[in-house]
Amino acid sequence: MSRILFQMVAAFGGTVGFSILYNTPKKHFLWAGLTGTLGWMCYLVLQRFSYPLFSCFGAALIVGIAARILAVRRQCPVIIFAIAGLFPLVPGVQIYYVIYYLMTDELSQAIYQGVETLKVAMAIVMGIIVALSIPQKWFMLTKKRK
Amino acid sequence: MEQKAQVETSQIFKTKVFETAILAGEILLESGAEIVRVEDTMRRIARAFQLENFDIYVLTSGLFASADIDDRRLNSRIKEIQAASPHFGKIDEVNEISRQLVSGHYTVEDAYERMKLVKRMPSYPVFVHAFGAGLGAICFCYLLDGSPRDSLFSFLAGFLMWILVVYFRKWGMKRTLCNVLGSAIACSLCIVFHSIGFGDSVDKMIIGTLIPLIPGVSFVNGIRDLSDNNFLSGMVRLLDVAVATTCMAIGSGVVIEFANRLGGLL
Repeated sequence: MSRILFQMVAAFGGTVGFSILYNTPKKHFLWAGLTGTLGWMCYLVLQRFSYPLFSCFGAALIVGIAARILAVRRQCPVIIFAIAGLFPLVPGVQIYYVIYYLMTDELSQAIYQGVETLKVAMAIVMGIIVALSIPQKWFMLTKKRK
Repeated sequence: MEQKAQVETSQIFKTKVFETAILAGEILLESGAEIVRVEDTMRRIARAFQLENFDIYVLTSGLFASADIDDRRLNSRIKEIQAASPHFGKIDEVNEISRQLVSGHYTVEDAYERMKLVKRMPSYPVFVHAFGAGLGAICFCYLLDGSPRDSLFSFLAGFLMWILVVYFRKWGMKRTLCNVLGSAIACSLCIVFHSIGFGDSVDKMIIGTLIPLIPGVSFVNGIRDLSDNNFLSGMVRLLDVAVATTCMAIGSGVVIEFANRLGGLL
C-alpha cells in the first residue's frame, strides 16, 4: 500500500519537475502533476490486467483525454498537460538497453530491445492520436458553467 | 454578454492588427506550440478585426503571412523563427491575450504591447531549472524501480548535469553537442557515484538522470502535427527528436563502453 503511495508521489513530483523545465506557469503545476499521476496509475493498473502494449496505449489515451478536458476547463493549451502526463510512459529503460547492447556488441539483443521500444513508442503515439482526434465539441460539454 | 471587438478601417489600424497577428504567431512558434494552434490564433485575430485576404503558411522554422492593408497594396511578411527552448508560460499568456482581444476586452494596441512584454518573459532561473531536472531524475529513477539510494544520487547527477548543460549553451555550443556532452556527463557522474559506493544499480541511475534530456516537446508536437496533416512540420520535428536521441545515445554509449573496458563496472 505504501509502495503505491510512494509511486504516486514520485509520478507527481517527476511530472512537476518537467513542468518546471518547460517553464509552465506555477498555477498549472498541481493539475499537470495530477495528470502525470493519473497516467502512471492507469499504466500500472492496465499492466496488471493486460499486456504491456495495451497498457501503454490505454494510459496515453487516458492522459490525452484528461489533458483535453483540463485544457477546456482551465482555458489553456492542451500541451501543458499532455506533455507532463506522457513523460512517465516514456520507455527510458528499453532505450537504455538498446544503447547498452549496441555498445557491448550484442546485436541480436539490441535489435530485440529496439523493436520492443518501437512497439511501445507506437502504442503511445496511437494513444495520443486517438485522444487528439476526438472532436473539440465533445469537450466543450465539460466546460465550467459561469 | 459577448462584447464585440472594435473594428476600424484605417490603414494604420489594419497594419497594427496584421503586426499583432504575426507577433502572436512568432511567440507561439518559438516557444513550442503546434502548427494548428499558431494558425488558429492568427486567423482568429485577423477575422475578429475583419482583415481581408488574410492568408498564412506556417512551418516550424518560419511563417509567411499576407493581407490587404489598403485597396491597392497587398501586404505580406515573412518571419523567420529561431526555435528557442520550450516555454509554456508564453504560450499560455498569448492564448489568454488573443482570447481577450477577440472578445473585445483589449484594444489592439493593448494586446500588441502585452505581447511585446510576453516575448521578453523570462524563464525560471537556472537553479530552479536544475532543480526541476533533478526532481525529474529522482522521481523517474524511483518509478523505474531504482532503490531510494539510487534515486537520491540520480537527483544530484541530474542537478549537476543540467547546470553544466545550461553553461554549455551559454558558451554558444549547439544543441547537438550539448546533448552529447550532457548525456556523457550524466553517465560519468552516475558511474563515479556508483564506483565510490553510492547507489545500488548503476543502470537505473543512468536512466533516471538521462530522462530530463529527452526532447518530449518535439516528440508530442511532431505527432500532433502529423495527426493534423501538417506532414512537413511533423517530420521535421520527429527528425529533431531522432537527432537528439542519437546524440544522447552517442554520449552515453561512449562513456558506458569506456567504463566497461576500464574494469567492468556495469
